[in-house]
Amino acid sequence: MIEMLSPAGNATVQDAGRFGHRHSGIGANGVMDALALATGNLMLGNPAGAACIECPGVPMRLRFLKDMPFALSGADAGATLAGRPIPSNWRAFARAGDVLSLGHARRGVYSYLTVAGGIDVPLVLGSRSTHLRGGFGGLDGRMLREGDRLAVGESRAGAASFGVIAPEEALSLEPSPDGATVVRVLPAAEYDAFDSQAQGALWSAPWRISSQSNRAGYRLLGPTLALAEAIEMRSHGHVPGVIQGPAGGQPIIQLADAYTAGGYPKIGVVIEPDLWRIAQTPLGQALRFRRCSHAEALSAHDALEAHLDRIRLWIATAGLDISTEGLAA
Amino acid sequence: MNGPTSLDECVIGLGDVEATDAFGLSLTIDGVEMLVSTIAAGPGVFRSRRRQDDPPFAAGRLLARGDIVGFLQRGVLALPLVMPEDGWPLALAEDGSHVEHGTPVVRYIRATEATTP
Repeated sequence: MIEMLSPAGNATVQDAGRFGHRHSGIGANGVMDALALATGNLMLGNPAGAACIECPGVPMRLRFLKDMPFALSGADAGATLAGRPIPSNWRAFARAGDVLSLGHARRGVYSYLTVAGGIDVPLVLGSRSTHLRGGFGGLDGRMLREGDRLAVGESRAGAASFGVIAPEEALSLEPSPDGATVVRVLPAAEYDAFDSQAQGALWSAPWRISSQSNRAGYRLLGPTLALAEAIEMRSHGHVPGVIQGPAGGQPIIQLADAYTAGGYPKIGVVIEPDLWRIAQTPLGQALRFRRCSHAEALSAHDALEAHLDRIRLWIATAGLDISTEGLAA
Repeated sequence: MNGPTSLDECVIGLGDVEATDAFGLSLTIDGVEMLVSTIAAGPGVFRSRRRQDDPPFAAGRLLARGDIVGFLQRGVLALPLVMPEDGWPLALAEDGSHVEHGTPVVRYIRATEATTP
């Protein structure tokens, strides 16, 4: 059991997502940074999709009510356990009564607390993720708050303490000279409907993440993306990563809590293996879109899977005292 | 010359000390060696920080027994190097250097009544 000791901003219970219900208008939700969740669960020997607490870069305190291994992945929030600093991308062991404190994110945005056995809230439509608009999933379909108690699944995990390489080092891309986060983008179905200036700006401009951004999507500030001529579109399905060009001309990237359909024309789509890079880019900072091919997108997916495989292999062969449940998955 | 009137007022200035030299320094108080080295328990790459552009993880503070003072990187894993007792890290092995079993990686000053302000 875990007890929340402070208001936790927009912290929620999330897992890998709720799939198979888009036809009913229910999006996947799930973590913003799927790589961080996978990494945390690997460090603990959990099944890949075990639920976690997602903390969006604001201070949070909680108490472990029994001994348990846990992992912190995603953003570096200057965490301490019982007053001792805990590195990022790290697995540690908490004693009953230990308090875990997260500060403001020093690097990245979303921190993930995974625990051995996973956060044990009821499955709703096959997932433990919080659906905030629908008010279901997670803990009573809402954000976490002070006094909440969260059950934890059974686990035979051991007390090993170790970390894994930061994903931005293991999966680095050629950096942008201005420090913007680089993500790879495929042209989307209506790319050709945008005028040539919009097409050029998509690839060349820095796109600043506006304050009108949340788990549903990031609205970007930059050049106006205009269509070559007005088009009328019926609402159609879309997925996280889609970059829409709404009437105002300021693009929106659909993310984890996105609606399942929309009618704005789509100029591009951020490839799935790079969505974690967007999730970990703070508001006000810039993104740059690097055009890629379908083959490069598939190669990026393979590289991400290979990175997780390396972690799995090193853990399995290092002789660390962890559970092996889930490692073969 | 006005010297210190008691041990409490005695300040030892070490000045600028090269990290590599610090592993050879010795400081004895009341017959007890106060500078101690911890050694790597196996082969790997010594890392003083989690990311290349981070500051050293344990820089500038008194560490308690069990606190992480550095990391031994093996492949994609980072294993913790912890303080065996309370102390101030004085010198760390070069970040990114390859170490073997027995290589000194941290030199620290024991925190005792004699060394704690």
